[in-house]
Amino acid sequence: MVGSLLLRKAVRDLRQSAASFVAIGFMVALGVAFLIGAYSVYVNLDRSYRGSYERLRFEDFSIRFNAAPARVVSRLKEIPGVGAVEGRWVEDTALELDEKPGAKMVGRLIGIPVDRPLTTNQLKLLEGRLLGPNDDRAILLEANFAKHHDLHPGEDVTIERNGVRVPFSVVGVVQSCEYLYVVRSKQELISMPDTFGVMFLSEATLGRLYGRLGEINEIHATVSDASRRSSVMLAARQALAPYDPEIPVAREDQPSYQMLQQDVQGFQAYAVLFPLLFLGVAVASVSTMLTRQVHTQRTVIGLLRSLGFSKSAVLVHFLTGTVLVGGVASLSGSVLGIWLADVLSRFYMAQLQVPYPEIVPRWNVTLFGVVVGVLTCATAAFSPSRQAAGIPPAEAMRPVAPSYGSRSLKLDRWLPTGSLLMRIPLRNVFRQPRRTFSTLVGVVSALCLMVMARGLLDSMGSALDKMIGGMFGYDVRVDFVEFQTRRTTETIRSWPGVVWAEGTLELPMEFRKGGRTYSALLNGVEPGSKLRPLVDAHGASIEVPAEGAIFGPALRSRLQLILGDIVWVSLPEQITPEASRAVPIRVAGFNQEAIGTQVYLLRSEMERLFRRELALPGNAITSVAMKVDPAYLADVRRRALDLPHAGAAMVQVSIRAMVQRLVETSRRFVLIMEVFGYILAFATLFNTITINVLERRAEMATLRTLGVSNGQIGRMVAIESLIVAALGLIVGLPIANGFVHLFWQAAQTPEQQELFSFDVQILPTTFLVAAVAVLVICSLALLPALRTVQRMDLAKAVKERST
Amino acid sequence: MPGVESVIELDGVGKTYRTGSTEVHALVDANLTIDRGEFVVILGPSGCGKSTLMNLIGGLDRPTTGTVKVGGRDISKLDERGLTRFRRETVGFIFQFFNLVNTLTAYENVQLAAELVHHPMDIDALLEAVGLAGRGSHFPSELSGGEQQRVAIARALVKGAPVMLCDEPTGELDEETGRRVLSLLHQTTHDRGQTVLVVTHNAAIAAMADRIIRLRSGRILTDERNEHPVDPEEVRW
Repeated sequence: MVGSLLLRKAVRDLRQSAASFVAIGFMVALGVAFLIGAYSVYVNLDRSYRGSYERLRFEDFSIRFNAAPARVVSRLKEIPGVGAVEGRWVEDTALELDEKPGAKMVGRLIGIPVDRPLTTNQLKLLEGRLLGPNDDRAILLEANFAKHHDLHPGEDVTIERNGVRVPFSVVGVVQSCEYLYVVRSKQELISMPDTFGVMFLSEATLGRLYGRLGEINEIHATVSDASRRSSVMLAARQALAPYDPEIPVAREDQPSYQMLQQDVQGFQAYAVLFPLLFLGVAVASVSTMLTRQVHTQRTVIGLLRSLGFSKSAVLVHFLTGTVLVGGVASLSGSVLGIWLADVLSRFYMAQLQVPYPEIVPRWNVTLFGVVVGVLTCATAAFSPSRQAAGIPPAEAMRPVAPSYGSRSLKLDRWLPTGSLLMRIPLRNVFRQPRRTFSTLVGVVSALCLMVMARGLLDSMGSALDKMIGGMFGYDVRVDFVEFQTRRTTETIRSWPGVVWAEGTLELPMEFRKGGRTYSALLNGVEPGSKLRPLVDAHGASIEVPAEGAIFGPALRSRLQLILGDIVWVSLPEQITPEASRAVPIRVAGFNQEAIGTQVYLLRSEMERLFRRELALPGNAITSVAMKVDPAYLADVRRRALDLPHAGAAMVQVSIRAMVQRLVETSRRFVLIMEVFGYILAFATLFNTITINVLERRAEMATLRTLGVSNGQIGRMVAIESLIVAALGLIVGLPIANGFVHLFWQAAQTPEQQELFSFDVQILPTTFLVAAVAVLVICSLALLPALRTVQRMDLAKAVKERST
Repeated sequence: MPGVESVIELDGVGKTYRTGSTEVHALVDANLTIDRGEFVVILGPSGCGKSTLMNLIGGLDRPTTGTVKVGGRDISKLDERGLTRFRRETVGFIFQFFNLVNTLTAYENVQLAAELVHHPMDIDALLEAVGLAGRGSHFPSELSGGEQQRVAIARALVKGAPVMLCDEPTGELDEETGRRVLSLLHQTTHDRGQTVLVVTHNAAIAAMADRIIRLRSGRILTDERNEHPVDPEEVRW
C-alpha cells in the first residue's frame, strides 16, 4: 500500500517535472539508439564480410615464387591437412583503356581456369558472364576498377606486352575476396583505381601471352584443419623450395584482408566509443539533474524519513522514477536504433560493395542496448538517490546552509562595484556552486560532443594534407615498368611547363633487424630533393645523409630501431632470380610522415648497393616526379605516358580525390555522429539552462514582487548563464581537445597506429564553431524559460518555498 | 473620517478562477476603502479569498470584475510594465515563507529592494531598527525564522512604500517570535504613517488592528473598526 503510494508519488513527480524527464529520456534514447544502431552496423558488417569470405572460399594462405610447373599443385594437394589448392600465373602489366586513350595504368592479370570452378578465392559475378573455354580474348574486371572507370561488358581494354598492344573484350565484372579492399602489395597499401586494376583472364590465354603456358608463380590454398595451418604452410613452402618461394602469407596477413579487418576494427571502435561518449554524457547530465531535483525535494525527503520511511525506501523511491524513464527511453531508443541499423547497414554495404550482405536486426545488441540504457539511468540516479536517502530528517527540513560562507564574501570584493542587480549574476557563479557545476558539466559535455566528430574530421583532413603534401609533393609522377636513367629526367625537365623534375629509384625491400623483418619501400632520392621533403617529429626538415638511411615511423616501431642501428636490407625474391644478398644499412635518422612504411637513401648509394643484383644501368631510376605549371598539366601527363616503358602517370589532384574517396565511408559515419553530437549537445545545454531558470521561480517571483522588471530579471539570468557558459568554454575546450586525442588513440588499432602516424589536428574554426554554438544554444534556451517565468502566476509562485 | 486620505479603494471587485469547466469565485463583489496609516487585519478561514484580496491590492493579480485603486491609481488597468513600477514604488510585501534570496546576505536582501527606488531608507538604520544590527552579513540559512522575517520586514520598509501587504507574516513563527515581529511591524509602519494590511487566519492578531475585515466564501462578511487596539506585545494566541 505504502509502496504503491510512493510509486504514485514517483509518477506524479515525473509528471510535474515532465520537461526535465523528457530531456533525460531524450538523451538516453538517443544514446541507446546510437549504441544499437552503430553496433548493429558493425555486427552486420563483420558477419557480412565473414560470410562473404566463407562463401567465396577465401584462402587460408598463399605463397609466391618464381615460375614453377602447374603440376606442382598436385603435389601440394597431397600434403596432409591441405583443403584446396589453386595455382596460377599473375603478371603486372601496362594497360590502356579504349575509353581513355593515353591513360596508361598497371593491370594485374590473374590467370584462372575456365573449364571448372575455382576451389578457392572464387569470384562473384556482378555483371555480364564468367569466362568460357573459347574466350581467348575475353577478360573479367574487378568491380572497384570497373566502377571507377565505368567499364561494362562489351567494352575493351588493351594490354601492352613487349610493345605489342593486345586488345581484350570485357565480358564480366566480378568481385574477388582477395581484392575486396584493393591493395597492390603490402608495400603499397594505397592503390588507386586510376592507375591500378585487377583483371582475370583464361590461364591458357595468359600463359600464351607471356610464354608461360603450364606455369604458375602463386598458389592459394585452404586447409582442412585450421589448427594444422602452420605445419601445412611450412610443408607447402618446402615442396616449392626449388622455385625460390617467398615466406607464406597467412590469411590474416593478406594485405587486402588485413586492411579490411583494420577498417572493420576501426569501425567497431567508433561503434562502441561514440555511443559510450553519448551515454557518458547522458549519465553526467542525468546525475546532475537528479542531484538538483533531490535538492529541491529536501523537505519531502525529510518528511518521508520523519514519517518512518526507511533509507532504502527513499532510495528506491528516487530510483524508481528515473529507472521508469530509462526503461521507456531505452525501448523508444531501441526502435530508433533498429531502424538506424538497417538504414546505415544498407548504406555501408552499398558503399563498400560487400559481396554477400547480411542485414538483419541484431536482437542481442538491441537487448544489450536497452539494458545499458536502463543501467545508465540507474547509475546516474544512484548517487543522488543515495544522497537523498542519507540526509537526516531534521537537516532535510532546513534550508541548505551555504558551504562557502565568508569565503564567498571575500571573493565579492574582487567583483566590480555598482548595482547589486548587476553584481548578483556574477556572484551567483560562486554562490550557487551546484548550479554552476551543473551548467559547467552541461557546457563541457556539449563541447566534447561537438568538438569530437569535427575534430576527427579535421584530423582526417590534416592527415590527408600531410600525406599528399609530404609523400606526393609533386604534381605529376610517371612510373616506368623498366629501369630508366637520369637522361629521362633531363628530357622531362626540358619540356615546356615542367618547373622541376626529379628521378627516384624506388624498390620494395625486406628490412631485418634481429629476429624482426618488415617489408617496405626503399626510396633512392637525389640529394636535397625538392619533391620528397622530409621532416622530423618536430616538423624540422631533414636531409638524407651520404651514409645511412632515414626510416619512417612504422619501421622504427616495428623493428624497434634506434639511431646507429644496422638494418639488413634485401630484395624480395621475386624481383631477382638470384638468391638475394642482404646488405647492411645504418639508421641515420627518423622522419615523420603519414604512412610510415618508407625508407630514404641517396639514390647513388642505393644504386651502389644493389647494382649487381638488379643489373641496374648507371644513374638508374624507376620514376620521375615533377612540379608542373597548372596550364601544362594535361599536356605534360600525356607526354609522360608517351615515354618508352612508361607504366602509369599519377596526377596529385586525382590522388587526393582518390584518397578522399577512400576515407569517404569513415567521413560519412563521423558526419552522422557529428549530427547526433550536436543534437545531444543541444538537448544537454537546453535542458541545463531551462532547469537553471525554472528552479528559480520562487526567487524570481519575489524579485518581481519587489518591483524588478522582467527585462532586469532576463538580463540577470542571461548574464549569469553566459558567464558560466564562458567559464565552461575555458574549462571545456582543453578537455574536449584532450578527449579527441584519447578517442583518436582508442579508436585506432595498434596496427593502424603503427602504420599510419596521423596526429590529431583540430582546426581553430572547430573550436570557434563549438564555442559560438554553446553561447547561441544557451541564449536560445533562456527564451522559453524566461517566457515561462514571465507568465507564471506570481501570487502562487511567492507561496512556494525557495530552497 | 473627514480629512483622511483613502489609499486603497476596491469597487465591485471580483476574481474568478477557471479550471477546465469549473469556475471558482475566489472573491465576489468586494467594496472597500482603506485610509492612509490604517493597520488593517483581514481575517478568515483558509480559502475564503483573503490572499486573493491581498494579491489584487498588491498588483500580483488582476480582478475579473471591478476596479482596484491604490494611491488614487486604478491598477486593474495597468499593463505589466505599469504593474512592475507600481509594485516598486507603492507596495512592500511580507510573505509567510519570508521569500528571501538565499544567495544574498541579510543586508543584500534589503539592498536589493533599496536599489529599485530613488530615495531608499538607510539600510543599516533599518536593520538596527528590526534588531539585526551586526547580522547583515549572514545568509538566510544562518538566521532563525524570526530573524528571516525581520529581514523581510526591513526589505519591505526600505523602499518607503506607502502600503505594506503582509500575507500570514507569523504563519511560520512561534508565538513569542510572531509577537515580536508584529510589534516591530506595527511600530515601524506606525512611525512612518504607512498603511498595513495583514492577511491571517489567526483571529488573535485582530486585537492589535485599527480595523478588522472578515471574509467568508469570497465575500466581505464584516468590516469593523477596532476602537481599542491593544499593544502587539499583549496579543496572545
